[in-house]
Amino acid sequence: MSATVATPLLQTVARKVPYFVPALVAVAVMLLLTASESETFLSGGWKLVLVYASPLVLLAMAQAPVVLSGGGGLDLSVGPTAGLVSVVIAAVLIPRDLSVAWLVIVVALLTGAAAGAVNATLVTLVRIPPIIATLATYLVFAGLATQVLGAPTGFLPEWMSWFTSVDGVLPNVLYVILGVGLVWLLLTRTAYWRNLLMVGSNDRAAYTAGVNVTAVRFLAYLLTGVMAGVAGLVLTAVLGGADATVGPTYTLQAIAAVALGGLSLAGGRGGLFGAAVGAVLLFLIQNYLTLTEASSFELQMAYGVVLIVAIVANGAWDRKRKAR
Amino acid sequence: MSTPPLEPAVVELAGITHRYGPTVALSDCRLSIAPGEVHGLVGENGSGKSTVVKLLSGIMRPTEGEVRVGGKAVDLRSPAAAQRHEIVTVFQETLVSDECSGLDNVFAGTDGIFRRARSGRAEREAAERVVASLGASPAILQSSPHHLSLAERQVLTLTRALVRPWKLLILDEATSALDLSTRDRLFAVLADHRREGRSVLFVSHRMDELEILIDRATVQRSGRTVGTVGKDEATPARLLSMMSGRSDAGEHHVRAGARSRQAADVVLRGVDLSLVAQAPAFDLDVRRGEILGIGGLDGQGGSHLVEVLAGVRPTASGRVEVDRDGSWTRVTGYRQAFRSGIAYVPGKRQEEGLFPSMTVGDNLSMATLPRHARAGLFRSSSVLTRVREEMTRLGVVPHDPSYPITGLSGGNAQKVLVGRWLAAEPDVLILNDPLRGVDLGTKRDFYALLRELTEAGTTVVMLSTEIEELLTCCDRVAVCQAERVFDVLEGEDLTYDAVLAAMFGRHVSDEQSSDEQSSDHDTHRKVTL
Repeated sequence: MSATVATPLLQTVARKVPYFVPALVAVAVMLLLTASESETFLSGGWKLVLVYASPLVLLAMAQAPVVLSGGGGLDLSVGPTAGLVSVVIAAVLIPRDLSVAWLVIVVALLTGAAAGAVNATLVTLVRIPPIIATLATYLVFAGLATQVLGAPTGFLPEWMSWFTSVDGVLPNVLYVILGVGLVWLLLTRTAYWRNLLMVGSNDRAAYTAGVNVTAVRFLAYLLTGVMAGVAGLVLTAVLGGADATVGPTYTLQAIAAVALGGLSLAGGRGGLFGAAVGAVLLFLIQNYLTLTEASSFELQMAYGVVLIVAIVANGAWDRKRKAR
Repeated sequence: MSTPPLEPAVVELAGITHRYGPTVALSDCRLSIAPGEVHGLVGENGSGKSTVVKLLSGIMRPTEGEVRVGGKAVDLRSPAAAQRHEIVTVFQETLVSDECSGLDNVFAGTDGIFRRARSGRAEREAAERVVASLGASPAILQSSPHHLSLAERQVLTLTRALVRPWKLLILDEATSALDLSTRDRLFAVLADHRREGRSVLFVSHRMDELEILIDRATVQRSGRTVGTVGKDEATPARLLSMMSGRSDAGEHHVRAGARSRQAADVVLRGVDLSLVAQAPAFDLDVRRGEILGIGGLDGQGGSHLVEVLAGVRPTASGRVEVDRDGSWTRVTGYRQAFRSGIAYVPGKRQEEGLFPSMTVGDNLSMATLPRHARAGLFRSSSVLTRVREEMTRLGVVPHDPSYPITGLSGGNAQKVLVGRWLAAEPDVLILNDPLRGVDLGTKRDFYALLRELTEAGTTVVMLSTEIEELLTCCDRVAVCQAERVFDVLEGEDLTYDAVLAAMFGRHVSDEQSSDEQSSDHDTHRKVTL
């Protein structure tokens, strides 16, 4: 009963090829372009590029669970959450000599989790539309960070330079990204993964099948918060300190990255890997334009154009895939 | 009238009342399902049967009364809770996710948030058994369901129900998505389950299916339980008469003032029309100056039909044509239909019709503003004069163009909505269930208004879910069933019972003969239960 007639090639490709492949191909192209523009890129420059890209990569990954959870799921506050975490580290913990690695890491994760729990409560229990709820928390977290830390500061404990080191075969920050990916991979082996996709793609079907839609979505916001906490930790290390104004600038880029990575903004399709690939792609485009001495205005316009192209292509891809 | 069950009930509704705001959807409902029986639940639109299904499947909780499972009062606060009490439901809409595999669709909801209840292998084996018993290919479990047919998708939701432990299976018009062979396989499977003491609550508008399958049937009318009858009594004629509340099933009810129209004078027609993919094609003529009613149970194509006639919705196949000065013009879209003299008044007036932040006058003049413009600028005095005339004609209360539209009663708001399109002086006025939730007095005014319009030469096509309304208001009634026009009734044949029977896919003449020879006319294969 399913398509027995010869299906058009494009449709077959769209059905068989995983959602993140187009973004991956684009990354390969950008790598070639970058390598042709910069001689040092292949011989180690890429490690530094990855270090600078890592906060964005982690924030795009953080964005993924809520986007996947559907129902207009989105977290505008991931940037300010990461910013708040870095402010808590640099302006609360370090001045009090509470800079032991485990403590800083635990506090970063907990701060992120707390922010995520606030969003989760507003969206799933108070039932405010995600874009409004997280816009409100965006403003609150950003304001709170500025309140705690008026001017940028730059004293970090020695151990935090581990994150930015590129002395090894691979840059250390890659291990952080892979670590987050590994935890997620384990999670996708549990029932949570199918609960999340079911809720994200058809919440009525999920609800009537007996899935606890509220709990699944609540957890998605919580996970997003925790990952934003990890991103905040890395951001602190990359900045070499804390600056309350930096975090918020990441939010829109993270959302753009998620769209670039092939996730459906309507929910239910995609994963963390695609989000990370999308972020790398976005950063490579930015990096390439900087190499070719484009102005910051041109850079912004390029972001916009790339985003529109990505979303249109995403939609076309999806229609091909779903055509009967 | 009611047959007491022999054993204690598996599931029982005891004096259930359910209200949505001021509307009483279900009033003192009593329903008792015995172990091992297939219990039919029938009634027309608004009879409360879908409320019963929602209460039993945990989608809603009753305002008053008790749901009892195995004699004990239970709180079915969510679909998950209903499933814990071993009540599973398959709905008419095929509720599957396109992003998960068929297997995940089947077992989603059986797990905890993280913990999986079964291994992948156990899941596959259990699901494959059920899928095979329904005569479908196990391949539907592997891929995601994008490209599956409607029937295959419904097999997935049936499998979802049947792999769970269950005592009561609710089939809420679930068979309408199935093809005949799958449906018969399902009935055979249910027969086996029945022997093991499991029960089925079977909601269907198909009298033939009810006849084959049920042991007893409960009839709902206007939110009330009319009664429960045993298999011998549950003939289509008896059920239809219980639904309609008339003791005499043969009663003819000719509407006063019905005028028959020349069949030749057709103003709008559907040729080889098919409303949705794979639905049977039919022809429909709308005669000049008549009020043609469109009837049918919710979700049986009535709403699709008016949308197709108005050009709002594309046809699956076939065409709609309108008479333009003697030649047939094909209706290709909404704006083109409007230019060809067809005005469409959408159903849900809050969402699709009114501009809630604007005044009565603004709402009324919305469609015809360009006519009051000179060099692209509106002359507000001209608009206002026209609006006042129109409000007088329609009898809108209060008679104040600057009144906010949200301050009007439902009936008056509907008049404004109709008036907006009347101002464009259409040849054909198509109304999508205009009087849902409007009080009786306003309804009468509205019928008179429609009658006046037709006398002035306008043709009216009106969808209504209420049979009484169709009888009171229309010259002819086209009844939709299974996404097609099942029957067009007029003159002496236009009776309450004929419309009701057609809604359930029957002709009144069938019922009379079926009383004598009970099941000979049934063309479908019977399954012995």
